[in-house]
Parts: sequence; structure tokens; C-alpha cells
Amino acid sequence: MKIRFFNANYKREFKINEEFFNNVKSEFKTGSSIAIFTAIQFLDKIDEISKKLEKIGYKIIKTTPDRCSSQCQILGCDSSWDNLKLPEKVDGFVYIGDGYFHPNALLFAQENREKFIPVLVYNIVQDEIKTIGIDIIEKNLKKRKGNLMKFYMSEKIGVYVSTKWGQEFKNMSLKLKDMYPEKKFYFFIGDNFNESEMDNFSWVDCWINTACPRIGQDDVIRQSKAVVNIRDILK
Amino acid sequence: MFMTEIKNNFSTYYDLEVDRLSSEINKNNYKLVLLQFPDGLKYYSHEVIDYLREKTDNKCEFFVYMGSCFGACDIPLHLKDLGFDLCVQWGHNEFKKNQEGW
Repeated sequence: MKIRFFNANYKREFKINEEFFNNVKSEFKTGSSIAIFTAIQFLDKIDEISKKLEKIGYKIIKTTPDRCSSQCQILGCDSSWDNLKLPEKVDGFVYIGDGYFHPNALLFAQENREKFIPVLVYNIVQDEIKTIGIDIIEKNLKKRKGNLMKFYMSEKIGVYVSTKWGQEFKNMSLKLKDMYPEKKFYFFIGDNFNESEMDNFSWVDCWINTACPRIGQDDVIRQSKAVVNIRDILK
Repeated sequence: MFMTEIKNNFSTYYDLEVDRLSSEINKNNYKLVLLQFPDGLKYYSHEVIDYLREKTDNKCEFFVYMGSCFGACDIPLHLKDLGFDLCVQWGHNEFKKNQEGW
């Protein structure tokens, strides 16, 4: 089976809403360093927007996150600071695109940072401009802390390994036994880590997710059992 | 609102490159193709299939993957033995696989 990807590039005529620059100015001081990201559909819009931001006095940071093929592209799983390959000094984030799945990754990426940087989202499909901050994910962060405590106190741990391409971290999962010898680990493998499947194994005290990190970030507020991302407990 | 939405078609906002795809199918004489749409495009799958059927003279059949499509990691590799000549995923591109984990 051959595999083909089509970017599905955004094709509507696009003119930058001047209100976007007003929002940038009110959110970030002139001279600030702003990291700019987008989803693959909107990549061709980045140059024009970056140039205009530079023209009004901002320093634009462009990186290629860990798993991305293109500069300024972000994937939903780029939800940790290291993945984003950013320099130490970043004063602001700008996301160009549609929806909140990708910009929320920029919020989750800041979970362990000293200072929380707002993300200015310019939805060019809906022509909406909005700044999002820690309040969007505050519930998730609280639940994540609680889940982590639950993991440290639990004995029977279910480790979910995904069969999805790029998510199959079987070997890393098996290392957990050596890292936490006081716990009993039970390993599971599947294509879809969901609540109803988890219910079949109600004896599991806490789950470790080794698949998409967003399962242990976005979804935690909907999960009845504690789920912790493997990254959170690696020693 | 709903009426406005259904007036749109699969090519209103995004370039799905269906002509390029149909040419590729015809050129390689593919008979069975798996189509994978992100959630926002799933609604339009019937339009895409109708278009592709026409462009391939009904010589190829299409299946829509009924599952998650959040990223390139959702390519359903477990279907590779079911006889599909091609799997097409819209909205994502190849990613760099991290062998050590994320």
C-alpha cells in the first residue's frame, strides 16, 4: 500500500486583517521576540505576515519543531518546550491557522516554564483574532498534577502502547519496570486508547500513555481513570 | 448556518489536489484506494469520491477510513494487507519519526 499526503493548502484569497497587527501591538511590546507557527495548510502565509511584523519592530523567531518537515510548522504533538527548538528568549507566540488544536500545543509546551507566554491566534479562515493563555488549560494542568500523584501512589499500572506509526514506543515502555521496581506493570497494545477500552481493565490503578502526548494533556479532564504520559515519569 | 455550510463543497477552502490524485490513479491503474480525511473534511468525502469516480471512469473503488485522522501518525498501516493500492491522507505531511520517543 503506497502512501500519499496532500497538504490541502488553504486556497481562499487572503488579505491580512490590520486588526491583527493592533492585537500584536497591544499584546507584545515593540522589539519583543515572537515565535510564529502554523499548520501545514497555511505555511505559504507565514512569510508575508512575518515580514510585516518585522517591519513594525518585532524580532521573528522561526524554528522547525522536532517532527516537522517545514520551518514554522507545528504538529499537535509538539506540545513540549524541547520539541519546539526555541531559543531561551521568547516573549510571545503567534499562531496562524484555523482552530485551537495546534495553538493549545503551544500552551501545553509551557507547562514547566517559569513565565507563561500568551499565544495570539489569528484564525484566517474565520477572520478571528484571539489571545489564549493559561486559563484555557488550567483544569488540565491541575488534573495532570493529580494524575502524577496517583501514579506515584499506585501499584498496578497499565501501560498503553500504540500501533500507530511514530507512536509505537514498546521498548521505552518496557524500561519502566527497571525504573519503578516497586510497581507492577501490565502492558497493553492497541490502535485506539479510549475510555471504554480502559473500563474493561478496571483493576488498573493508573494508566501510562505512550501514544500521542495530547491524550495525557487535553483528554485528562474527560478520563475517569488517571492517565499519565510516559514523558512525565521517565527518570 | 447549516444551509450556508452545505453550499460549500470540498474545494471551497482547501486545495485537495484531486486532479493530481486522479491522474496518479489512472497512470498507475490503481483499483482500490483508501481515503483518509481529517474531521473537518470528512463531511465532503462523498463529493470527493463522486469526483474521483468520474475522473477514473469508475475503474477504481474508494474506501473512506472511518477512524481518527489527527496527523500522519494515523495512517492505518494495519490495513496494508487488505489489497489497497494506495492510501491518501489529506491535511498532513510526512513527519520525522523519533525512535526514542517524544
